[in-house]
Amino acid sequence: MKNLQISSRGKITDIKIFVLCLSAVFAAATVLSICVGTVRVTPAQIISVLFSGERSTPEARIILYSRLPRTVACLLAGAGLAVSGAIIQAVLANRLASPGIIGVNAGAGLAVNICFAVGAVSGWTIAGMSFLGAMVTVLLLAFVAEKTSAGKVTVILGGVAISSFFTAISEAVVSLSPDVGLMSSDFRVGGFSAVSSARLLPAGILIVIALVLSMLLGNELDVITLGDDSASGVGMNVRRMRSILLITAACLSGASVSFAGLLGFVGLVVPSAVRKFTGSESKVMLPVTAVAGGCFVTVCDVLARIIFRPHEIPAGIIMSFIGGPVFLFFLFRDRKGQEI
Amino acid sequence: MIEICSISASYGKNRVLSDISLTVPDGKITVVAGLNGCGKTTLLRSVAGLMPYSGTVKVDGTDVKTLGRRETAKKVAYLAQMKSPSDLTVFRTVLCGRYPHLPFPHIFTQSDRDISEEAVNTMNLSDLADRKTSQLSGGLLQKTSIAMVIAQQAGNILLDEPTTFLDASSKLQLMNRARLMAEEGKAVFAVLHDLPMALRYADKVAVIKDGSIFAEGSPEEIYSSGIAEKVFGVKLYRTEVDDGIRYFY
Repeated sequence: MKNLQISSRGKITDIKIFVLCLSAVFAAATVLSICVGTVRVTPAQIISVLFSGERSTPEARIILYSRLPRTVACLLAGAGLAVSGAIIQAVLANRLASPGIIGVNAGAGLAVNICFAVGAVSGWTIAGMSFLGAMVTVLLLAFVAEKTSAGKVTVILGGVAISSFFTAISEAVVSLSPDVGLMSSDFRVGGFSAVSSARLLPAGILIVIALVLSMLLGNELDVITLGDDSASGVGMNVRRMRSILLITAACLSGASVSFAGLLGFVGLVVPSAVRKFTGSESKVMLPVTAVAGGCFVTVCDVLARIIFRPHEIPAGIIMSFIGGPVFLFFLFRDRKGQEI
Repeated sequence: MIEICSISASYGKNRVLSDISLTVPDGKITVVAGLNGCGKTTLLRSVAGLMPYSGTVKVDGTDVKTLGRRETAKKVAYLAQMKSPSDLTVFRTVLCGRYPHLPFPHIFTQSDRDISEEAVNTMNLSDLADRKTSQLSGGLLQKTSIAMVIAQQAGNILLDEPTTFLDASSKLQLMNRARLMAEEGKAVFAVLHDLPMALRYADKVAVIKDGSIFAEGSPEEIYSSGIAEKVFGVKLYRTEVDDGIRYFY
């Protein structure tokens, strides 16, 4: 037992250092996100507005009604999409699966576009329909994968096909409804310039509930990675649990897409990167993934605001600049037979 | 004790098991032997409640169909055939064996961790406890799965091809571990491809052919009946060393 305790201690120290660094990045990214923009705000002004109740100055209004909702949106979308990716990867036993790649985001996006097209634009309607679109997609893919005993690559390709199909329908909806086109230009790439509290609140509530549920289901997520027979052998109703986990993942990604648009790569890159530091035990990996996802999206959004200042580009573009090469890195590392 | 009464099972229209009855007593190793595809694994999966069947399987006197998955797992531990490894560490994988014992909200206690650490030590895996199972050889992965079965602390143990991927020494260690489990009073029910190994370690052997029990008896009875030649098409020999241990080859 001595060896076991010694090696565990070393690992725990590594995780603590990583979490400490991540916390520092989290704090810095949050403050930067509130400070950076066309009008600069200082950290002192943030403290003054948040704790003194001063709301009449222009800076206070910018902080309270623009920067703060936007920062919270970045953190929630990042956490939601990253944890959703971690769950989908574990349930489908595929490190290349993510809500963006297997079409979950596209399903949510289609639902949101339909909402815009029919004029159902209340926060709750969009968040709910987005969740529904994501859920239908992920359950459809899981059902087909189970029925056909599809391999890992087949599941990914099937997801890509579903994603293309839903994207095509979305494009058709956008083409046929000019108003949708206007509203969804930022949506298609993914960004936070149009985030409002009314859109954020319902989706945020869904994300927080799903995050708590996913943390509670950490042990179940670990057991399901053992494979169907082994998981059943230790008493899990695998089919039911797989559905619960996938619906949770769909809720996270659907709600995130409803206000952040089709952000790519967060659900793919962040869980894989976090696993390198924390290992795959969900109890540790999921909360750290949530924080790291929030940091990643917030940093990308800050970069999107400052790189071409005074102009702003959607955060999704920055994310794809970073996520694309990282995805290729994972892909080619996998081809060498190394672990993803 | 496991009592299997007239069970039949199918994959779609393909009937794999036909009217099988067998008793797996406590404190003994009962081995199912047979050619590939004869229904051995299907029989074990049926007993574990992992696939539908007609007939009755009673575990410690209770019909498995009346038990929930978790209750079944408390009574029956199932070592599945070799599978793809996960990214969990060896210790975390073994800890999963405690899952059926966790009350809601399914949080592991120190007692669960102690039991799992003991299982890890029992299988001589303590040096590898923090290693991912995806980084293990097939043999070490199998040892990890067996440690998980030990941690499950069920009274009935189902082992599906437990010696697959193990080297000669590890095979003997594993079967000796199965013997210890039987001596602790557990009912050990194993599927083995290795017929000489089955005859050496089993207290009782059931030979399955085309989904039905072709012969059942002690290793000595199976050996002397010449069934090995009829079913497996091989000639078996036996030798007995000074300490009374029988070897088949």
